[in-house]
Amino acid sequence: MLDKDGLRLYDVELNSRLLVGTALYPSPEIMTAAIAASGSDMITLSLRRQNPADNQGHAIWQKIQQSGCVLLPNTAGCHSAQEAITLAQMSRELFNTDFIKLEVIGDDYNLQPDPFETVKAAETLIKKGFKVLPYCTDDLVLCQRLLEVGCQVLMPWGSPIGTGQGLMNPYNLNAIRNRFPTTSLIIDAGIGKPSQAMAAMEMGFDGILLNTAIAKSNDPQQMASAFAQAVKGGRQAYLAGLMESRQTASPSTPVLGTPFWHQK
Amino acid sequence: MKITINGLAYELTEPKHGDPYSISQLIEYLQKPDNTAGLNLTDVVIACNQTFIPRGQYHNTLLNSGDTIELLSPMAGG
Repeated sequence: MLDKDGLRLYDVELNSRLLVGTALYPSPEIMTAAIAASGSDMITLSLRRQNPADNQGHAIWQKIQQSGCVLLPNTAGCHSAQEAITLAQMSRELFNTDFIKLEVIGDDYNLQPDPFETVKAAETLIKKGFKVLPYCTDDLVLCQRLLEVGCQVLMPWGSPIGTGQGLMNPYNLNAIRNRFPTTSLIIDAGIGKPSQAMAAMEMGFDGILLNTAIAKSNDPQQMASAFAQAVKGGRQAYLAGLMESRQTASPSTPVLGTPFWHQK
Repeated sequence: MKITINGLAYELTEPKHGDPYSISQLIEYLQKPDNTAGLNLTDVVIACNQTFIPRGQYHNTLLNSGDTIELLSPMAGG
């Protein structure tokens, strides 16, 4: 049954519930090995000004093309809806995909998304036929607004990009999961450990998007594999249904027939 | 004609025909070995003054002095 348990993103169904970034790896070769070990079939990338002194951008692009993964271009670094819309249009032409990971940063200190500009950009992009995956905070009302303008997928943060702090606010994330039970929800950003990814999947999130935790580990290939297993394990646990936690102890071994009972 | 490409000031020699450069002509110009500034123009997309210029409009989008061009290429991203 789990073999058919794909991740639905608009009209596309992915086999893997783990999406990975392509940045910060020690080399294009290590990036390729890590993507393969992650089992991901959707990877993020960006558009940037060329640096003629650095040819690694072209090498990475070649490796990304060879990966066969579905591409998810981002609008990282944009600070207004207009910048993000322009960059999304440029990405669609070059990468030949309607998917866009919408990022509009509101504050450079913690790279927190700007909720107002994100909604504005999402509304325009949806009208232009984009499949928008908005990076957003864990604010329930913001998520509601993004759904109202037509987003079919939401990507609330676990914690700020690159911090590895995990799920900062499980209460808010739970509320979003419970309030929008049929929306594809992906935790994007802040995941530092496989256990954190697993916890999010156990909560019922549909997928995990991460980059730094794999790319900056000592062995990205091995860490990618660890995350792949954690995401699968968490998903399986969610589907199986977690027991309810209790305040008091309850013996698991049957009490009836306990040896030495009343022998004092 | 002075324009900015990716944040750097760039001076184009005036076109001989006297008409303004189109984006197509700018690309042709930058592809000449002496003018490329090291740019690889294989997989690029262009915005002019923060407006996306689709490939099909390169020939009829004309440049003005002072225009700001973004010439972007695929890069790693998270």
